[in-house]
Amino acid sequence: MNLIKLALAQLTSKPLQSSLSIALFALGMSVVSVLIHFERQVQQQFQNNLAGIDLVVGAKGSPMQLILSSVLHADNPTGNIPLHEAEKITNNPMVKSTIPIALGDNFMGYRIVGTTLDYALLYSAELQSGQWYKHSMEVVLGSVVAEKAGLKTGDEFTGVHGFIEHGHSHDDHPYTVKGILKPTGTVIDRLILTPVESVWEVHDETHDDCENHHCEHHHDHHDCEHHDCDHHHDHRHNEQKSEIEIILGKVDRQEELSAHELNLYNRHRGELSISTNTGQEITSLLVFYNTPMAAVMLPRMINDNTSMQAASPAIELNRLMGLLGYGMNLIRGLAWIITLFSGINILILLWSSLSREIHELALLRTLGATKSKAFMLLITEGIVLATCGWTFNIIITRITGIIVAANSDWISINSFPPILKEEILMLVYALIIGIFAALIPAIKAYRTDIHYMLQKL
Amino acid sequence: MIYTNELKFKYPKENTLSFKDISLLAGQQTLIKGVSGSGKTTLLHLLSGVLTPESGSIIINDIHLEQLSNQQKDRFRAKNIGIIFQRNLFIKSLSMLENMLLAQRIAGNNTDKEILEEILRELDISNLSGKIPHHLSQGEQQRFSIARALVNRPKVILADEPTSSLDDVNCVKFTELLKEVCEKFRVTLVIATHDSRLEQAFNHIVELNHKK
Repeated sequence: MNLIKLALAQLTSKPLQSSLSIALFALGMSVVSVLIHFERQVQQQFQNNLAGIDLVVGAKGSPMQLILSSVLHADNPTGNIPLHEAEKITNNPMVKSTIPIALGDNFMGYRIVGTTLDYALLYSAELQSGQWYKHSMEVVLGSVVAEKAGLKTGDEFTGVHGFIEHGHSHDDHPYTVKGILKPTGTVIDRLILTPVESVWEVHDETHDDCENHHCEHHHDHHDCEHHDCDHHHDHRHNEQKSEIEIILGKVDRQEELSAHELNLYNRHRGELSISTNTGQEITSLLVFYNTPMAAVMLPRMINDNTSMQAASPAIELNRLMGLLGYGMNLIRGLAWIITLFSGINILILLWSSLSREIHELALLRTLGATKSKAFMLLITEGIVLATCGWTFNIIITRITGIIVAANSDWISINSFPPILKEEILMLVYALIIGIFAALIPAIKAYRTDIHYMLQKL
Repeated sequence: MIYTNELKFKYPKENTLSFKDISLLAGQQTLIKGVSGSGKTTLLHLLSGVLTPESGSIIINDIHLEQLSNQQKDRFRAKNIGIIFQRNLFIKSLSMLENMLLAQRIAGNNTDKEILEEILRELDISNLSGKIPHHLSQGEQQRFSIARALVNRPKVILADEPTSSLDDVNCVKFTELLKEVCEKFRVTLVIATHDSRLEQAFNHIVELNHKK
């Protein structure tokens, strides 16, 4: 006990050097710690958001984009799929159940998701107030949306086209808030749920609009399906429209077409044919398997035989974490180097103060402190520095957590996480570094010849 | 109380120092005199167990010091011997009181504030015990050095050139005080010095004049 008190007194008598050592040590460890928390929470968040979804079926494109857009609601959709195609999957015997997702609009940056009430059930979301939607144009708000937008049940609002806050607003199709969900800590907190029919209803008119402008081809061209279709395109439509008219005229007069024109003409014809059998569309379909066999069969079946793609959320998120992990490993490595150097800093601090206060050590020894006690005094100082560093690291990490939680938009972070097993492990590492840093000065203290030291006074 | 017999000590790569036998009675106040290099400090360090003799024996309070292990010597020194250094040495991060208590704790004794207060009162420094070493004058620090040498109720106090930095007036004052408290607390006092001013104050003088 008196060893700790003495070590503390020795360290507090040089507050600047001691606090610098501690700060440096804490900084290095904080980076490691924050990374661990970030990784842990992102993974947890992903896991929660996956909610047991086995497969996501959507338009062809990047499978990761499909998962990001339809499960995490963090990216734009790949496109749309026809409802009747989706229904075929729903009716497949290997499929237990499906949930449709129809995206298109947002409100204040929060996505309006056309889906069934099964989606809310998936995240075990419960109503905070109001009731579930029953009819088209009724919505249920996630807790964050309700809080940030300040909407109550009974309020009306209009959606904005696309996924950015500002844009064309569907003023003539107001939504009515029917209910508000309790916080779940999942993506649903940031969503606005509505029946799929609402999305169709809002965009039906846009459809008609678009058709007049030969906008339909955008449904084929992944980069601008109807929800992304904004007014800038009208110019292009007009140009292309006139071009098409010229081409159509040429075709009528049976004139030769250039490659470019032929291309356009074929595309135009293709669009006409698609638009004729276009029924209702959804963005994607969340699929739950009936049998483990489906994991092998279903994705291949869909990818090979339909115009749609199937992506497994688990696989895609693993891939994503793998990509993130590479960068994180790099930062983690740097952080450990900082920690190592702060360990060396502790060594220098202890060594130089021992050299300066060697007569104090001689005093302690003549007063009857054994060699091993002198050794332990230095080790204790190392341990005290390391423990302080670790404690500050925990404090810094928590403060960072609070700041990040307050500013993060698409991921909800637990702002005051409990001390993780990894952090306890870091305390062990910290102690090892502290002890190792103190070892060389401690050996010097152990070996100090007091007779020699006293004669040099 | 303190006896040495055929005491020899050898520094690495140097000639052997041999000391003449000394025998001191309990409570006796002794001056060990000698020119620089005559081995006064070496003798004191031998007596306190800081150094181990090459040959010969040291008996303090019926204990053969040369037979003890290093650790036992450390413990013996802590319990039985108070040391006053040439310079005033304190842990500068601790207050004077804590410095005193530390000496008790290192000796493995329970902190005994009563005896400590008595000693500080005797030395007239009770009111200074809250200060840190840096804030005290040399004279005040020297009194605390005496106090610390006494806190563990030792049998012997060994002082190494305690007066070398003092002027004549303070030299006399210090010697008087040291002699007085040693008498009061029944401690055998051994001072090693080359300071001839001290000679008149001591009846028992041991002269170390051997040269290698």
